[in-house]
Amino acid sequence: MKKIKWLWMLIVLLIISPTFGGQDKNNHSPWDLLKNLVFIPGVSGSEKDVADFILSLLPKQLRIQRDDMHNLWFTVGEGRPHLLFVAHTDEIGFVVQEITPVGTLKVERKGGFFPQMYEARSVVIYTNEGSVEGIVMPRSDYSRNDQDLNPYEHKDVEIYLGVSSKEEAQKLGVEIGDQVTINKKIIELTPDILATRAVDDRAGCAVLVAASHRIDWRQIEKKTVTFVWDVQEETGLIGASSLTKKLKPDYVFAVDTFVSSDSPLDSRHFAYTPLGKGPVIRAIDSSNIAPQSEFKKVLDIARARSIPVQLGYTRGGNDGSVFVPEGAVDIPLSWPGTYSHSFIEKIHRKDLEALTDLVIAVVKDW
Amino acid sequence: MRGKKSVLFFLLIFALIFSAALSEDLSTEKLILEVFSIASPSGYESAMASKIQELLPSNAARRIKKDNLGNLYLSFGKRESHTALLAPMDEIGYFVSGIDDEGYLRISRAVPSPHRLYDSFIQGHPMRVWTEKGPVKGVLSLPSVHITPADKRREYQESFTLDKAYLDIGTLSGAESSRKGVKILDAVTPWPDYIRLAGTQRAGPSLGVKACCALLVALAGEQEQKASKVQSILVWMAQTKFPHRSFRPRVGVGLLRAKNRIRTQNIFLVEPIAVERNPIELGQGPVLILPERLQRRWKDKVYAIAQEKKIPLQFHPELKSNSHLPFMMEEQEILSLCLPVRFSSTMVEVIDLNDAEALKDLLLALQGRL
Repeated sequence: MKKIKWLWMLIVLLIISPTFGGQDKNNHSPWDLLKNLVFIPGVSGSEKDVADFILSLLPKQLRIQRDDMHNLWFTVGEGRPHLLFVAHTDEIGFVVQEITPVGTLKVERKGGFFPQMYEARSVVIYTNEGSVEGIVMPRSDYSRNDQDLNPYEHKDVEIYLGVSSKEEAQKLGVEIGDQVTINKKIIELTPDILATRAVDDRAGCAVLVAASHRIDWRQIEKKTVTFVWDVQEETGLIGASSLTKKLKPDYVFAVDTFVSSDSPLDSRHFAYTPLGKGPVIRAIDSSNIAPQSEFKKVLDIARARSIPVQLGYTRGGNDGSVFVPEGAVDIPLSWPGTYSHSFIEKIHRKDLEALTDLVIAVVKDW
Repeated sequence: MRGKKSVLFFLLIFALIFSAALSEDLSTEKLILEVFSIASPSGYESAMASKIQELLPSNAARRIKKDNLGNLYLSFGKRESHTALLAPMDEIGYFVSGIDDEGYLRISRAVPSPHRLYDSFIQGHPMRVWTEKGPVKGVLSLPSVHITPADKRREYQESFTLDKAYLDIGTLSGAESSRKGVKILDAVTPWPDYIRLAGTQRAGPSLGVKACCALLVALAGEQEQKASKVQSILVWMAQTKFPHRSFRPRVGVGLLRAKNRIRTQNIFLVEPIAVERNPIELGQGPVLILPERLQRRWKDKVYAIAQEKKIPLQFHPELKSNSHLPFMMEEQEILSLCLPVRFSSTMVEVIDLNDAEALKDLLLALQGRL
């Protein structure tokens, strides 16, 4: 009888253990958080599920606020300086714009990317009734070798579901406004390097979630610290812009990708920050020039704590920049990432972990 | 005592579950999936050959003969075969043709590209390198949109060729790539995403060819089980995508080898057919292709058999197959029974499982009756 009891206990343990039962809510490694976060769909304007998931991961003692757009944030401490760290929850993708009479879907692009990347690829449509798999149809003349091909544009993206009428597509649950992402998978190139979709900016989200667990918020004195997970960055820094009315930081640290040219097809005449060599201070980008005197403070903090840091210039905007006209200094903190806005955004574990350390150090030492 | 009874009860439940799992016949879709997951670029078919043998009933697997090109032959019946059924088992794939100082792999293709965009569809795609130490994961590099000058963006997208293909396996040097087990000439294939579309449609890279290969396995299984009296030979052909240089129009080496090896009068080719370029449709049944001289004799017969078995069938007198020519030159009688494929030669070839099932039924019905 005793043996049977043990057998039952073993079965129960197996079921409730994180390996068998799903996400371990106590695992706050940014690397593991990232691997869970990338799979939650959150095309710009459809970030609710990502916000819900992040909310479920945050320390319960923090007073989290949420607005109608699904921006999430919490503030701890009082007085100046006010430090704000922001990562965005949205990702590039599409939303369903039209269901055609033959059951295919025309879509609206959200964010900037090479349209051809989606040609003849499998995608997922997230409907109220569950996920539906589809295919982005190749251009109609793709197999013709006897004529010049028309270039593939964003307007050419059309999704095939395996049905032949609008009614059949609707029966699958597809509606106008449903979000569409690539059929995601994580490719672990080495134990320390992975490539997948939505590293931008779920890695930033993971860093802030991990940091929120590792900081002793009771120790925050003579400063105010706000952590924000905002929406619609990819479509024009919209979530952050709306927050400028509510939040008035002195310093903003946008935690987002540094698009690195550490890849074989990009010119290395700028943005060359190798993966695995530490986080990057994104000193200059297309939306912001961080004052040298200010980002040097970050360098000093990193040096004091032996955190490896790189410095660089890349392109693209960041959420912190919308706070600059309001009086803040924007110092984006990043990991070096290659193949930006693709299905294989590549990231190194060491960079992500050191970036988490850097965020924590800035919160403590600034 | 109660404890012993409980243990026996659990053992019984487990035994029932496992025996049910073991005795379950592989459905056509499960067979297709088994075959689909195996990489089989032309010239690298040995894993596929092993998989086919593994999937066959043990008696049939023991009878398999393999030639030195990699073609597999399985005979049924004791006398000389009356019919041969041939299906390809190779797909278009790549191999490692170089490893650079930064660890990136350069890749090439031994077989011709089916169309100009074929290689561009692997940009940014996860890939696998088949090394002696096991599969190595990689991704095919593409430029970052943020830091690519506007005037270069279209160029990258529309004029991609393999000289711009860098396979990133996460290494920093050639030596590190070698330590992972990667060697020049290792096979490289795209990640096999199996996509479940609505209803009975499925999609994936090289799914048409893999499904044809699997159908022949299913057919062999059924023939073996029913102890069919039909004298036939089934052939899974290697290197069908690699054209023989001296034969015009170009035909795969594996097909020419099979033609020279088998001496049956009737040849049934089982192959995929693209719906885009032909007057046929997906989901409307297999497609019959007959050389002109056989159309009068065989068309009505095949139709009658299909009708008797309630199997849908598509036919168009204009449809032709290059693969028929070598057999026709020797006065052998050949027809193709084809599986319709949409978005042919892309990473998302679509098939309809109903077409596949109908094709298998038709092949069974036709044997010994033509």
